[in-house]
Amino acid sequence: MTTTAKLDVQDNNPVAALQELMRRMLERGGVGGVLTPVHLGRGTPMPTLVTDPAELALADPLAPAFPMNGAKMLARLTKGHSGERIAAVMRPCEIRAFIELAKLNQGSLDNVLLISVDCLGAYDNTHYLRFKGADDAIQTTLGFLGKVGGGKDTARDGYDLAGACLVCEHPVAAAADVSVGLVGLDLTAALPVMAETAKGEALLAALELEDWQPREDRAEALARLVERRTQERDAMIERTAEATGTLAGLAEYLAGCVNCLNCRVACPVCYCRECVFATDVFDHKPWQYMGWARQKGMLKMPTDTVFYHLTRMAHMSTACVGCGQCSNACPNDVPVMELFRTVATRTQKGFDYEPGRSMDDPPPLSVFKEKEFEDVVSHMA
Amino acid sequence: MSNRIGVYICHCGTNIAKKVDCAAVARFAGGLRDVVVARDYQFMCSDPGQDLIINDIRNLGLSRVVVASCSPRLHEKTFQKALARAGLNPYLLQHTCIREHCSWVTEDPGEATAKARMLVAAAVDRVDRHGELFSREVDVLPDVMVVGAGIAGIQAALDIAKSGHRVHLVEKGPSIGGHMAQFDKTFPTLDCAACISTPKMVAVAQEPNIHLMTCAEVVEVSGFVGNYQARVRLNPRYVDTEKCTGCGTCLEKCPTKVSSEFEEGLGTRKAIYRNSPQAVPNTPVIDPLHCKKITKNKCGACEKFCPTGAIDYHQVERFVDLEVGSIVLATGYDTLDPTPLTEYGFGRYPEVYTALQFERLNNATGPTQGRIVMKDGRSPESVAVIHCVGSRDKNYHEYCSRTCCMYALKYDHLLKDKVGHHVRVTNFYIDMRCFGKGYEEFYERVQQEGVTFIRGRPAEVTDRAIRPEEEGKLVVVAEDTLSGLPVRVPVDMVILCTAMEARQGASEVARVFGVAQGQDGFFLEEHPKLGPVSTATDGVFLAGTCQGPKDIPDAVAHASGGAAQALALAARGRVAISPTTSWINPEICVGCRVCVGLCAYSAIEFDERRKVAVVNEAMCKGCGSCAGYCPSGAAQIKHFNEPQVFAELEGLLMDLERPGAVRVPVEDGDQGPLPDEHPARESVTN
Repeated sequence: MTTTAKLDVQDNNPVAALQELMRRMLERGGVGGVLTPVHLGRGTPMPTLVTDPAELALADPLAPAFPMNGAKMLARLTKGHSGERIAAVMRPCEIRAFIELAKLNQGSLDNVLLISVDCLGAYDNTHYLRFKGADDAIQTTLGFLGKVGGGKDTARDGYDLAGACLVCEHPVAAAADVSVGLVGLDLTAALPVMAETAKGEALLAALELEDWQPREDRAEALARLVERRTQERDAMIERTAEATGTLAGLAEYLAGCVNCLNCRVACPVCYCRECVFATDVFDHKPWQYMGWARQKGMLKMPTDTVFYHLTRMAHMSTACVGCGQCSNACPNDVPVMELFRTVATRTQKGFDYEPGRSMDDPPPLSVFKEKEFEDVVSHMA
Repeated sequence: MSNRIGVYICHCGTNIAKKVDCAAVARFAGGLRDVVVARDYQFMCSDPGQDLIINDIRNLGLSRVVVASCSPRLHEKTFQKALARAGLNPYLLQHTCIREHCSWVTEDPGEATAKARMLVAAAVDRVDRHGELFSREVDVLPDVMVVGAGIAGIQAALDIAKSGHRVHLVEKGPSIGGHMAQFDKTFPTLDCAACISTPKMVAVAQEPNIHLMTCAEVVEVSGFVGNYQARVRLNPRYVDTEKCTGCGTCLEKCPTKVSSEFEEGLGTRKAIYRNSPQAVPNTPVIDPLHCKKITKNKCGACEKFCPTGAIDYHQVERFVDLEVGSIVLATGYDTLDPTPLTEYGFGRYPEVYTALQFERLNNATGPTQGRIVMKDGRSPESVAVIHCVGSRDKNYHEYCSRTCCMYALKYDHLLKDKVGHHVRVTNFYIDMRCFGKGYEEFYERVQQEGVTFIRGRPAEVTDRAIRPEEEGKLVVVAEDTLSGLPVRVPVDMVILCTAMEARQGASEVARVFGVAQGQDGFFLEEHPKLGPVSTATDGVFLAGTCQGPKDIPDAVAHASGGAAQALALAARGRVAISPTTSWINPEICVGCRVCVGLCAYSAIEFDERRKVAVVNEAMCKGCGSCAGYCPSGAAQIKHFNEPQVFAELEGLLMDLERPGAVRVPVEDGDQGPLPDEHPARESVTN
């Protein structure tokens, strides 16, 4: 039986309520710091490690902006011994990506509390800044949220959510220690804070929030949201599979790729210290380029772009959490997320693997199974 | 400076040249980038063939060599040594296969030639990226471990011990001798099995260089060729072998009777028992599942009556750690349980026996003191011997068990000899396979003794009589495939020649010792013809039926082979470690540790201080599991690194009509001749 606590919302401001939650964590939750988005600069919410409760005034885990996936930042904060416990208040796709990194020993769950906030989606970088305009950042968030969480997805003031969010069927993170509910709830009254693990129970107990039995609106609203997004996802996959089903189609799809590797840098689960595509393995000799060109009469420069994406999918598609930062980072608007999710949905289904669900699920490529894909390898059995 | 590559295309007599236009392939190769000479020759592996390469290296200053011939498994070493003789590092060779991979598997000569050109182009591209590699040597520990003390393990242990090396002989059961100890006579000479095996068993017990451990199992092996560490679990025997004199009083006094495994369920033993009076060691063992003292703390008769106080109900398992240079696996076989073949009625009709049961019926120490009698005590008047039960059968084992024809003939003879010439013996066989020394002669002899042979696999054994003479008998229903007629043969007793199969626990043993199993479950040898005792794991050898069905002479010969391999290592005392191992670049490794879990040889450890994975090159087999996973390419197999494999792929994918990497004069010092129609080819004939 999980404990649910009540987080009161004052002045119709759920952002302030979450700030209060984080303040309590720092003051009485035994937490040395909180990693959460804080509006900096022109108002873009960046992952920020806050240790002083006074610095929480611009903290905003609900902002409809997502300039980076914070999983890698949390990995940096937890790889090795810090001696101090921290909390991360993040989106489900950030928590799921962090779980994947932790499986690969790039971060550790030992000294971290994972607080997942129901995700209502976000705009891509440019759309968010246009949507916000010159307004106050927190007021912008409140305007985006409205009264009921997740009432509708798209076309607020003419701006659509990012493509990845529109097709995301994971608005909650199964592996979180504590979840904060938003979907289907009246955001101006109170928010449920739910302990999902023993660690989460202990934290809630320390925060001294009132126990609560909220109405059951959330589960039903979540189911509707997931169903809608799954339909969107399947339609997107169908479109993308159609466009990329042949090598020629795939090459055309990726024609705009300039090998900047931004998508790999932005990808929260791509974890190599040095990408093999940045090494001298792909330093070719001039005569090689001439040779390749001569084979077909022409050669797209830079080379190895299709190879790069295929390799990244081979390495990481089972771990793809669908956060969409790859598309967000692409300077040439190559729809990388759509391609990745299309392939990842199939590879994850193939291995019956859901990335970020649990530390108990080993990454498929890290284990041998005696019987696997027998329809493919049965002739060797 | 560019490489100077020599390419050598082998005809392999007509093996390759019959399908591949070798001269055309050499012409093509001569036009590839950095190739300064390309030749074709009848037999590259011959001395003159190797001399061609050696002379070219010396005279033309070759820096890389490509040989296109048979599989590298056959002659890569030959050509590597040729390079070494000419002063080039052997790893500057690329050996590509245009025989097994090309001429032998391609029907159309045009296609075969095109494929050979692709393979050669790939090899040329690849060899350009080769670098020098150096083997290193490590010491070999002098002791050897032999696992399993059936006749094969005994033979291997005795051979090794005779040389003066110490042998740790590990046997799971309470005594040694294996299946052979269950047999009565042996084909084709009809020696008594005990008469020829007990001297060897006694020799094992008396040999000072053999450290025999019974009731013992190897639970863990680590290390690498020359330096294995093995952990052996000594299961409690509950009898102190030092104090026990083998007087046998306990066997008489024990009140608990249990069905005997050694008697194949035909007889009983006590809860404290030994398999036979000749058991080595002679010390009895207590079966803790049935001993009333151990299970219920009652009885205690054996302890009470033991004159030397050897009984110890409180023994617990112990572990022994061994350090050995090599390991001989002689874990033997199981016989197929014929119960699932319900058509033969085993378990349903009391007079249907397995082969091992019939061995025990014949044995003087068996349940009937060697008299061939039925359960009611009468001698059988007629017996059917059904061959190939579970062998040569798609539903069970496709392979031939190799021993059944011969032991069936032995049974035929024993029946005639012991029960009398009047007994009617009928064999149901598919083919008679009597291939060994003296075997055909034995077949002839048994035929002359009046035994009937019917060619046909029986459809069923039934007790439903349809004729008066079938009343009270078992009827074997079959088709005589030579006459094409159905037959019904009423008999008193049926013997099933049950298949030899891999041990139940073979997969666990394979895991512990790092050896592979073939499709049939038996341990996989390194090469079916030329490496039948070695395995893919250096320093682990096979002996006897754990590798496949064998009769006693073959198992003994195989075991002596395994012993010789182990001794070859031990005698030299040094072993070269292949340099084609994995290497993990600590600058790139990000410490995810997936490779540590994937390594089948436990060759990768995690360095906690530097937070990177490190390969133990002596244990690494270069299999590539780590490199295949490692997304950043920190793990690379030397001689199979990414640039080399990519270059090879590129050569394979080359459009042969428009070869990309043709020889063109470039500024980085390529001094080769300019391309003309036959740029650098010299055809050599002899």
